Parts: sequence; structure tokens; C-alpha cells
Amino acid sequence: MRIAIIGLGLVAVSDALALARTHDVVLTGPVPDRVEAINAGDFPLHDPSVAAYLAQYEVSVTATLDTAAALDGAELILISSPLSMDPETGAFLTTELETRIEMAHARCPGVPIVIRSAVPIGFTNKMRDLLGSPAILCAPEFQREAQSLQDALHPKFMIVGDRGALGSRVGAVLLSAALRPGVQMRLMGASEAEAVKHFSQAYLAARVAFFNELDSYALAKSLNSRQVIDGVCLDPRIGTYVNNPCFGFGGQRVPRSMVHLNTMLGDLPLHILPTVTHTNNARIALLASKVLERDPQQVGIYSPDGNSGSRDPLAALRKRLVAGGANVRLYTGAAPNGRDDLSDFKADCDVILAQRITPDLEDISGKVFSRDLYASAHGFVSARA
Amino acid sequence: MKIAVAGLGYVGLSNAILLARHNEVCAVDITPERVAMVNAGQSPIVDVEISEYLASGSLTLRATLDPAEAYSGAEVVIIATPTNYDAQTHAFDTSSIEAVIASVRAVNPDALMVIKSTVPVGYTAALRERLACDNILFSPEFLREGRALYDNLHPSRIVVGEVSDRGQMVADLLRAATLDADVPVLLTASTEAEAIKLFANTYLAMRVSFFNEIDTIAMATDIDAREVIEGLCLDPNVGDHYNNPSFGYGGYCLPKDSKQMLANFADVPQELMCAIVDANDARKDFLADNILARKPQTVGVHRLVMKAGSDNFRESAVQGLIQRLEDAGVDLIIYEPACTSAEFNGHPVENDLARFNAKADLIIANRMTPDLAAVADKVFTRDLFAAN
Repeated sequence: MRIAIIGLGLVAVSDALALARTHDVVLTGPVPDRVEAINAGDFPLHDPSVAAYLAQYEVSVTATLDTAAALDGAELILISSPLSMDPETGAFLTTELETRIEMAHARCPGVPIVIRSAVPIGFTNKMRDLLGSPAILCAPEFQREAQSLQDALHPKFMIVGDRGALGSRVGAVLLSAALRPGVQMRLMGASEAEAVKHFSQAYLAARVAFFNELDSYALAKSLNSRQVIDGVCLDPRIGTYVNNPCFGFGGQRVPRSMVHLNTMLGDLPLHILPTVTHTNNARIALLASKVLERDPQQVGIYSPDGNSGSRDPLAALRKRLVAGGANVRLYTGAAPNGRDDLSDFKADCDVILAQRITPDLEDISGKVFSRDLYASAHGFVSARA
Repeated sequence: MKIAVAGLGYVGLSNAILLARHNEVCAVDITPERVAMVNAGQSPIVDVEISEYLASGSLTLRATLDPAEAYSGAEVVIIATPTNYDAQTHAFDTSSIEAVIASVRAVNPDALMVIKSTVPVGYTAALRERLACDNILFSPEFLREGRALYDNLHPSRIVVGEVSDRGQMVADLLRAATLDADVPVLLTASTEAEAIKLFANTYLAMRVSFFNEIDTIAMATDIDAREVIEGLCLDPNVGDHYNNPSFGYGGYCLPKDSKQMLANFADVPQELMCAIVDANDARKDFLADNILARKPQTVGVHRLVMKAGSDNFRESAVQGLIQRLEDAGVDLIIYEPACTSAEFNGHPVENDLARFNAKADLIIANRMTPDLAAVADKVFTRDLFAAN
């Protein structure tokens, strides 16, 4: 089958590679470098398993800047273009996605269009009504950033937002991406499928918030936080994943889903979901006070992956620390000119804040302030989904 | 080894039976009926495994009303007396534990006392200091009502709140009594062990509330809660358990443990623990409004128990709904075979199901059961999976 994928991001490329064992896949998007790289066989993923996969399987993947050409002859169209969000209202900005769907619908009438990205609950049905086409459906992806190809090849489950024959047909194609048979697939309504994606992020967010609050308690009461978490998580109904405390949520997806759910929920009498979104504030205040207690001359913030925007808990911590009178220096990764800033940063700071303890910090572990209880040994799951 | 067990509730009885498989156990309780039943090989509570083991005659277990008889000569005393949550003081009432400790110290000062009752975080350390007695350990209990013995025979983990040889000895004693190999054992300080118990139950309360909130959203929109929950729980990390919407979390442990957790947080910044407690009340408010909007004349309450297989309606969520409906002036009748009196909180009990079904124009049921199938159109439930 010829499949067109609109998007050049991690999900698009992972889907493309996984489907291209048995289908002809064309990727399309407006990023010339990426198109060129993909056509040269260099797939822009963070998943280290790409090379081994390509060595083992023959794949038929090309990329083009010309969306119309990509769509020509397509029998199935996937759209993977993450939405941006209005920073004021928290609403997803869907105009660009709508344009892409309209274009795909116009060029390929009747061809199923599958939305893989997280969209507002109700969006797919709105597009169906708008275009008068029942062939638009959503099938949210559940890939992790650093294992996107592995997750595309070994999906734990699959959700398709169409209860009828179209859903079964599209589901069968998506299942062909999996290396092993027996993946559980569930057909459901379009809004329900959209909701599963957001609630799945919300469940993780609630977990992160819970273990962070447990850790705040342990920190305030001088308890061994790791022992408490170990004891709690030995309950198989609770489990040992996503339980490593951190400074707070960062990244993009979890906060977006939470903001979306909260704008959607209006004045329903809910507590868990709204609280999970803003539970960071008290924790940041407690952590900042613990850092200031050490009376530091120079606080360092170790953020080797760079700053992930205004929702980054490190940014919030920095603000608090500065307000508390601390001198704060930021480390955001090696300088482009290859200069070794890290040694200077480590020498200069007497307290260094790190979300996660990396080998880079081993030699100055006495200076590190972190709530990473498991380092990379066990249960290392970054809260930056 | 000679072991005494104080208290013959779920926790005490299951621990007594568990340990009496390999040790000589004497259990003490203040209720003559319970003591007589245990000595006659009968279970005073509904629990399949407890009944089987008591009837089997394979245990070295006897029960007594006389504390001195039980405690004399015992190397270990398991304390499993009730610690009810006192809403006025925002704390568990631990007086029954302290009464046992006083009584043990009077007859057998060298006995090692192991608290199995749920206590506030920091309680054991403070008590040891206050009593100048270091023969007291805490070991949390993780059993479910109705499966108390099963959960002790197949524990998810054994936690003992002292990192010491005798802490290890207590862990070995409990582990030797299980039916599973390789049960994880964790020795911690006493305060950590207390926190493990309360945080674990608070997590489960959060989980119940999380799925109830999804259901509340579904009720307010046209989203199908069942599809969403089934889809979400295909993720093995989320898991297909503790996800069936209900009238709220309830039973003996989750409400009191989450409230105690919140009280323990008094001087620690928290938002989520508070939300977990508030969410349960908000859920009942929302459901009560929804029921009242149907303008029922007589509401039938089908079962007061929290779970099928339980005979216990302490703190069951439906009671929160009963209270709210009563406050709104609705007539209520109760169907509860485990309730033998003619009235419950002033509402008539009607245990003839046909008459109950006929009298009520709306029936609320935390869990749907086959006996309601004939009147399904009258039933208000949020049970999506016909399961606990």
C-alpha cells in the first residue's frame, strides 16, 4: 500500500520506518534539511536502534517537500504534526493542521486521513462535519521520545478512533508496523480516542505529582524518600515505573494535555486533574528554600539539554532563587565553539541543581542538589515526556 | 515460637492464622463471641481462606479473653487493634494500641511488640521515646478486606520498620508463613515504614478518584467513559485494575488513610494530598445532584457494603450519598442482607428484594449485580465493568 505521512518529526519518521517494511511510504514536510537527510538514508531520530533496524530490514521510505506529490496515489494518509498552544488561553492552535487535512481531503477524496498527534477532544468529529467526510479519524501515538522507533515497532497497544469497518481497516494497516503479532487494538469513538491520549498524559502527570509530593514530605521531615518510594511501589497495583522524584514537570506534552483538559473541564467539580497541573508551585518553593538554607555563594543550574521554555521547572526555580538573593549561573550544554564551559561552571558554583544526576557530575557530587533518587541505575524515567 | 496476637479483626485474625501455621499462637480479643467462634474453628468475619484454615484444624491457635494468658511467655506480640480515624482531632485514635502495650509490659516486659494497626507517620518513634520502651516495632499491613488471609499468604512485600537483627527476625517470621518464594522484604526506619503504608493507600485513593473524575467528565459531556478507560488501561503501566468508576473510594482504609496523610502534611506544602481527599466529597456531591435532578420519590439503596464479598459497611461510599439524599429530604429504603436490624440510620431496611425493587422508583447501587437485572432501568450506578 502507498502511504503518505505529513510530518517530519519523531513520530512521523518512526511510523514511516516501521510501516515501510511492508508498504511504500512517502514523508512530506517543509524542512529541506530533513527531507534531504531522509532521502540520503539518514533518519533524524533520537532512538539508537535505527541503524540495527535498517541493517536487518529493507524499507521503502522517501521524503519530499512537495506535499501534493506525496499525496498523489496515496491509499492512506497519516498526519503527525504536533500542535502548538496559545500561551495565553492554553488552547491548541489547529489552523495549520486543519489546512493540511483540507488539502489531503481535497487531493485524495475518500482516502482515510489518520491524525496521529494529540488534538483537542472533539477535533476529529469537527473536521468530519466540516468536510462532510467520515474518512477522517484519529489514532493517537504513544511513543516515547528516545525510543520512538522501538515503540513504533513494539507498540504496547493501539487505539483507533472509529468504531466501524474503516477503523478496522486502518487499524490493520497500523498493526502491520508492529514486528510481533498479538498487539491489543481497541476501536472507539473519535472523541474517546482523543481523550485517551490526554488522560494517558494526565495519569503520568498525576503519578509524577504524587511522587514529587511524597518526596517534598520526606524532604521536609528528613525521611529516607527512596525507602518510602520503594515500599510504596512494591505494590503491583502501583508499580515501579515513573516514580523518581524531580523538580517538577518540564517538556511539552504533559503540560499541554493538562492545560487542554483543564480548559475543557470548565467548572466541573474536579480536584485531581486541576491540581496536578499546578502542583509544581509549592514544590518549587520548598526546593528553593532548601537550596537557600545552604547559604550558597554561587548557585549553578545544570541543564545540559538546554532550556525547555517557560514551563521548565528549572526556570521557575531560578526565578525563586534570584528573588531569594542568590547568584545563579546557568549551564545549558557545551558551547558551539567547543569551549569546555562545564569545568569552569563546576568550579565556580558551590551548589549545583540538577534534575537528573549524570556521570558529568560525579566528580562534584558533594555540590549537587538533586531529587534524583535512582540516578540511572533503576527506574530512570525522565519526567520530560 | 510462642506468639500472641492482640485483636481479632481482619488484620489480627489473618496474622494469627498465618503465624499459627508454624508457631504456637494465642490471640486475645475483648469480644466473647469472636473468641468462642475462633476456638470452635469458625470465622467471625467473611473471608474464604480464613474460614477454610480455621475449619481445617491444622493450626496451633487458640483465642482468649484474658490478656495475661495470651501475653505470658510470648516472644512476640502482634498488635492489631483498631485505630479509627477521629475527624475531630484529625488523627487515628491509637489508645487501643497503648492499652495493649501497657498490658504486655505488665506481664511480659521482654516481649517484642509489633504494631500492625495503621498509625500516623512518626507515631512509633514518638511512642518509644514517650514510654522509654524500645521493644516496639511497626510493620505495615497491606491486606484487602475480604481477602485478608490470602493477601498475607501471598504478600506483595513485607516491610518492617527497624533496620536491625530483630527487625530481620520479624520479617523472617512473616516471610516463613507465606506460600510464595521470594517475597520482597524491606527493612526501614519506623517512620518510613509508617509513611509507606499511608502513601500506598493514598496513591490507590488517587487512582480511584482519577477514574471517577474521568467518569464525571463523561457524564457531563457525551464521551463514553467505558471506551476511554478501557483504552487508557491497555497501557500495561496504567494497568487494568482499580479503574471501575464508583460512588467514591471507601471502605476501612482509603478514606481514613488519605485523611491521616493530609493531616500529617500539616506543615508541608501540599496540594495533591488535599485534592485526593476533596475529590471524594466532590464526586459524591456531583452524583447526589445528578440523582436529585431525576426527582425521585423513594430511592432504594442497594447494598451498603463497599465491595461484593465483604460484610462490612464502615465508611462505604454509598453512605455519603445516603447522607446527601437525606439532607435533600428524599425518602430512602435500604436493601442490605448483612444488616439485620429493621432500620439503618432511621431508614427502613427492606431485605425482600422483590418488595424493595417495587417500592423504590430509583435504585442506587455502587456495584451492579445480577439480582438487579430485572429492574435495570431504575438503577443508578457508575459501575462500568460489573466488578469491584
